[in-house]
Amino acid sequence: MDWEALRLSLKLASTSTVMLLPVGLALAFPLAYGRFRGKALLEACTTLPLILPPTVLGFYLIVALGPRSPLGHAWENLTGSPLVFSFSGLLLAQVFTNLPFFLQPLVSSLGGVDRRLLEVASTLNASRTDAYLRVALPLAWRGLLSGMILTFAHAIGEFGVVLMVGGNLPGRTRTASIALFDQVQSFDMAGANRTALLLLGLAFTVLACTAWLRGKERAWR
Amino acid sequence: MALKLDFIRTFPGGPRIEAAFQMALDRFSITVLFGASGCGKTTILRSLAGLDRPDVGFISADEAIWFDAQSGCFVPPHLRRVGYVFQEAALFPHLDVRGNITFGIRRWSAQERHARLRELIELMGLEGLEHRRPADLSGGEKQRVAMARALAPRPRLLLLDEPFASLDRPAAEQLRHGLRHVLQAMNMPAILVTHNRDEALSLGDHLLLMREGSIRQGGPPAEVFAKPDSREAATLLGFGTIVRTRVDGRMEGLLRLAMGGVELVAPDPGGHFQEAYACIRGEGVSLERHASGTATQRNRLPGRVTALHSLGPLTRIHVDCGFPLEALVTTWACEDLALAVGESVHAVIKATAVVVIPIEV
Repeated sequence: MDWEALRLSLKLASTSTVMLLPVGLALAFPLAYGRFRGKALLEACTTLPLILPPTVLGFYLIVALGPRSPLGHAWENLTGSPLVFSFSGLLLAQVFTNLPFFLQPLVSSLGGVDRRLLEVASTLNASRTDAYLRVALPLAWRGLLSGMILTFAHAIGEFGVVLMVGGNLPGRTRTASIALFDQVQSFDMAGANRTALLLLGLAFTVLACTAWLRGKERAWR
Repeated sequence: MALKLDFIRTFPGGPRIEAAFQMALDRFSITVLFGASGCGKTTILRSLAGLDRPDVGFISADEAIWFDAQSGCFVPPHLRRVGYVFQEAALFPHLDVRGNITFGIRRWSAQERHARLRELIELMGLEGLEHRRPADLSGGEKQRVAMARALAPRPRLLLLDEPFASLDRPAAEQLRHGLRHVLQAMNMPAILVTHNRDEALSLGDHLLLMREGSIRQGGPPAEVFAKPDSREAATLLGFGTIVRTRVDGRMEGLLRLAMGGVELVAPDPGGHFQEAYACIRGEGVSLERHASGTATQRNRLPGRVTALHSLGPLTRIHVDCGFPLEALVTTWACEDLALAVGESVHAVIKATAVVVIPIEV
């Protein structure tokens, strides 16, 4: 059992969930309530990671984060180390890859909040942001929670993007799902079995939790 | 110190709503927007609150311009200081009564906020309910919390959109009695949207009659109710009988009107016209079983009962007396007269109960 890989997986998943939170909350608001030009485009962009082959996504992320890109270049100047094949690069890639998993349950929950409640809030000295944070989000908390859980679970399981952007550096970018790949490659079937079972159990628990939350949400109304 | 508005809101492929009126904002008064559902009353309230944006015109309050189509000026709802009470209380389900009431004053100091909460709880009779969730409140309690919530930040204008419509009758009446008192105590100007005549009459200081998207008539409620100026207004104001008549003669401020072979005497509103609508309230008609009274009594018409509708304490009776006439009598009187469909009766109509609306040619 590669405990170091599992530890790295958990660290990567929890850190990227936390990092995704402000980004996702800022994007969910216009997606749920906005009426503006380019909304369809924003929707498409944030859903893209869901259907794009991870290798395609990974390739573009390498290009975007690589030392030749403005972002990668600036990062290297700032920290002295490259962004790709590092934990930070993985984190950025994970935030982007997991956007749809975070946004979809949250936006759907926000859409279910009675619009009149937001109107009432606006007549009670609440700006749009106030109404979002104080009324819409508290009422859509189940969507927020299931978005976070899904993000966490998917971040643990992500394979293609991690391999492309992070490579396979033990202790730095080798996560549990990549360790499993290595175990199979080296015919360590018993080890692979344990890793696979652990990941399966984790994913199953997480999905059961979100399903339970969704059921609760229906009963609330 | 006044609210002034003159605007048009058009819905694509739908109705066109026009509104133009003004009202004082520095003192208590209730303006009633009265009309059938779907005539645009709510659109006017929403535009005033900033929840809806008109297409043409302006809205101003005191010196501030809230909306001006020409300059593109639009003040968002949270900067207008206007309270809004919806038909369904629309309380925040995740907050208790206390959290709902203090939502609009969350930036006040804790001391002020607490004092204001106490004051409103007492004023709206919500003692003991502070920690209840909206789901555990009755309809009347919910609506009282919604009113307290809207009043808490001391808005400069309170908008009430059919606040009693979703309540059962006793709860609605109780709340109605309290409302005028509360608004008066706070010196709060308000606009009330309703299609209920009792509400309009008992709560309004000023009445604006709306029909098909625009304001048709305005004035003190009792006056508007007594003197509708169009056939449609009469229908809206609950005149049960509206018939087209021909003017047969004029004498001493009275008109002789003829229709369906019978004659009716009514007050002359003045002016030259040959035809007019005679509008009669059901309350102004009494029924007699036998030809008692004096034979010369005016507006005494023989007829036949065509239908009876019980309204609880009152019964609405349709009588055919050359034209269809509607009478509203107490159920007790109805039983006393042993009225039934097909029976012959005499309808007595007070001349002053007939409102004449001239038909201009």
